[in-house]
Amino acid sequence: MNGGKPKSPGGTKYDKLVFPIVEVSMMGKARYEYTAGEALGKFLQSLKDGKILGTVCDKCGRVFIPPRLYCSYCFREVDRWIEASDEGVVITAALSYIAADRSKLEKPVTIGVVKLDVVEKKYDDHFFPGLMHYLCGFTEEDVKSMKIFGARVKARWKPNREGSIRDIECFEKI
Amino acid sequence: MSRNLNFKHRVAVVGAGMTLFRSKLLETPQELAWLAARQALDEAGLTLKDIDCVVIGSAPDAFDGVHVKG
Amino acid sequence: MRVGIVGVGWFGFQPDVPYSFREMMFKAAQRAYQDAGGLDPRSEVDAFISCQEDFWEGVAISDEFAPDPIGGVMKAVYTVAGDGLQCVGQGYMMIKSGLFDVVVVESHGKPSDIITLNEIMNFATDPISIRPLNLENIHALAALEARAYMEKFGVSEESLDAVVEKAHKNGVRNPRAPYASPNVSRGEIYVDPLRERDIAKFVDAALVVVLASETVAKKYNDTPVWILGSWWVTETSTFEFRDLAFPIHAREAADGAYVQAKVSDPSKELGFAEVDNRYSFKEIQHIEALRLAPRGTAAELLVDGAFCPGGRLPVNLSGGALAEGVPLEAHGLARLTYAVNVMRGDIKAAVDRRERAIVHSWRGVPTSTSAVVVLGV
Repeated sequence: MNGGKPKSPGGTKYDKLVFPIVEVSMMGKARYEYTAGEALGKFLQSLKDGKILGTVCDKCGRVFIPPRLYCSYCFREVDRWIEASDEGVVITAALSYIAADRSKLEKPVTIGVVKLDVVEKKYDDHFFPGLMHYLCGFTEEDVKSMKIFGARVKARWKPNREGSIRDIECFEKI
Repeated sequence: MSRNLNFKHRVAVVGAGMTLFRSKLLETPQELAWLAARQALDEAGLTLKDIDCVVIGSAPDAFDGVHVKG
Repeated sequence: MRVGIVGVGWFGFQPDVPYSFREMMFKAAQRAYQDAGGLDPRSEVDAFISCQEDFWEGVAISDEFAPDPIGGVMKAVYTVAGDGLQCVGQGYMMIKSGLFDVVVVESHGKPSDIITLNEIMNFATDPISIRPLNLENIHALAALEARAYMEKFGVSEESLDAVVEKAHKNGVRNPRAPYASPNVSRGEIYVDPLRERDIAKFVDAALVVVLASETVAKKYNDTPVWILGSWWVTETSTFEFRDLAFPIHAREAADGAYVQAKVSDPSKELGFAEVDNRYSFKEIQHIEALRLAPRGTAAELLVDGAFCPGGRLPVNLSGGALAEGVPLEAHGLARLTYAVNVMRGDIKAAVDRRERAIVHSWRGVPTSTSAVVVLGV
């Protein structure tokens, strides 16, 4: 191995090397029980009840969904809870054709970010209350052509809910 | 407060080193760091004794599968 | 240009805090900014630093979670994979450079979220030469150091009794020491020679410290505590290559900080010390490594009461990690904030001289990293 000055722009000169490779599995070994805390705890409870809750900072007017206990922009505690509609508008969307292990999916999956409607609140596209989730009811062409942008969607709730973001199956085309 | 953006002292890079970029290098991360550091020190004409402080940046621990890597 | 500590805040120090780590960070930050004269982090802070580790968090690139809860969104924030005291060292350098006036340091630990703590700590050992051993109990690494030290310097288990007794007695007067329970034996054997109460338990906590340059410090606090020196050292990642009988990293870190602080005889010039005692024997080792007593003498001096409240040089008036618990990387800030509170007189402690103190943290097994801060008022 050559530790001297780099002699070529191709990088360090190497002899042909074969070293053993040791597999180290972390599966099942790094396990956590994550504390949702006050804000996300109440959020999860609301999902179980089929509602989407957020918090409001009355100083700057921002609504936080997913909710936070504090306003990161004003650095103060939020003032109150607010219920958002389970309907909203698609801000961005993408299609995934492969799974985590890189195997090809039978059907591509659409994911997106949904800006949720909140009564008496209007938002720009920079900061808004919303969720990233699966989108359903759209064709491949809807996503590819970007017609999906601005489409109205509504949460499709699971009948048996347990207080998880997956209590919403997907946001469905209205 | 006001950040002093008109800082007067200049800071120079006096040596640099770099390993190959490959999808599966066969050295350990420590060995790769050694190769690059050796080159940088040689180029600067310095030895470890001349170094006051070492700053290391690398992928987050979870990407390397090693905890407390720093 | 001196660097002052103008605000400290903490939240938690309970074995299982119901709030999320983000909410804990926010609450600790609120208290620290209140302590710094109602400082507004959105307009008056130049940079934020957070000390954390991905595997403690259970989040990859957990760095990105640092800004939101402490007022750092859209501002200069970076993270250091290390003990909170190393972040203090970063902030100290940033202010010393003249580039920054106010720097916020944050660290938190939520060990109650980790189900497989022993496995996570195993992930910190060498992945090729040690991890495949699948150590059933990672504290065995500390026990190896304990035995090496005790054999070399003739330290008996009675001195460990004395450390544990002192820690729990002191902890009773510390409002954030949930594990303090004096007059109980060291308990059953865990990893020889370490017994149940030789090993500090883990605790959930978040801590925030506000640092400011001398030019602006008085604006935020009438009684800043000055950082006179800050140094940190890592020995080597290879367990076998280290001096197993003596923590050289703590000695080197202290020596660096003493040079900066112009301290030539620490045992005489310092009034008190807050040192890492996450294992009982480590307190004795660290007292010697920080030159508060000659090598091989601390155990006896400790039994004689030299490091007790009202003694020659009180060590861990808080009870240290044995009484408070270890909030992972936030431990160093726990030691630091306690010392700051004693120096400012917020905590009435039995100490004659509270104008000079040393604070030390070690990152625990299997690391060989120590960070030291010398404080003055």
